[in-house]
Amino acid sequence: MKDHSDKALMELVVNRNTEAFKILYHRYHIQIFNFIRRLAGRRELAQDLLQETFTRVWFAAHTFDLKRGNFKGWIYKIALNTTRNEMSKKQYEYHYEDWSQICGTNLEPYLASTDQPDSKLFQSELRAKIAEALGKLNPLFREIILLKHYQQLKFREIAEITNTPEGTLKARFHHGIARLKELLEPLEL
Amino acid sequence: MDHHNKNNILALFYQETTGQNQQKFMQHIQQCESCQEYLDTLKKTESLLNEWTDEIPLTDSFDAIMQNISPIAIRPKQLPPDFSFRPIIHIAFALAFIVISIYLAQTKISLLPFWQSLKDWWLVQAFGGFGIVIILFFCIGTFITLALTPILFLKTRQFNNAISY
Ligand SMILES: [Zn+2]
Repeated sequence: MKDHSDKALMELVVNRNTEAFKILYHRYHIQIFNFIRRLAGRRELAQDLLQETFTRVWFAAHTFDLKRGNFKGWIYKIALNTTRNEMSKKQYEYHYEDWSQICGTNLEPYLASTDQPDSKLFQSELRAKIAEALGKLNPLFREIILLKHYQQLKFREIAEITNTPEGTLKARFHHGIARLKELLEPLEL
Repeated sequence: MDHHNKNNILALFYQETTGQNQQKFMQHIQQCESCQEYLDTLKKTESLLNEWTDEIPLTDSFDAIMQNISPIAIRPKQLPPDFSFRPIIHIAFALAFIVISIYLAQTKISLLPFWQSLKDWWLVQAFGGFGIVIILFFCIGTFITLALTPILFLKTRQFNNAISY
């Protein structure tokens, strides 16, 4: 079943097949986790929202358009709406309380390629600064930059996920980039 | 630089253009400083953002998700609930409570000075004092329910919005 397409797996999920559901989870959980993580700013919260997203996938499976079969767009829509709901409910201040966690993973390969003793600190700070800058963006600008840059979706796909015209999305993207440029200027952008 | 041009640069940068447009625009960029500058900003921003690499989730949430969905979705058949006298006792108790309160209310009302004159009214004669108080109770009940309807409606809507994706 592992080499089934998303669409084929969703057909099984609609018929309450948990094995297919598990495969879809493992196929998408890391990218969805990282999307929510960068959007919401907190690791623990991202973990909860990841769980919530997949729970909704299960319960809303019957609403998935099997004819079109665009699972990726569909799950991003669910993840985005779940995160938006949560953020608006609690009036979050977007901030990173856990710098060490931002910087904790995937550092080793980078460190191996450099011989500067303080590079770990530099790298940590750099990541934290990027996270902080993203956090300072208007949430709508942040969404589009994350979907475009990290999730590498096409503007056409993002338009469908966010229910927003492409032109509006591109305008938001330009604003977001301009603001990021300002915020990241000290990092020699 | 207007948005139209910036959009072209985006399309070029993310490779979302068609061949002919791309060639034309590439030629333009060669001579246009502001377009080059924007393209440069995009490149630099991208390489900076790349520094924040993907992370692995803290734990595998799949078991937790299965727990979330199992009580309703996985269980093949809903078992019929065991028969219990408890709800019947509760209902009998509530009914007795309502009847006693109405009876007490009626005795109090019939002590009031206007009751004598009200007694000749045809409605009181038709239903009796107890009947009138029952009608009064139900009217008040209906009124309260109607007054609460908008609030309950909004609450339900909120709840529905919260569970839809
Ligand atoms: Zn130009």
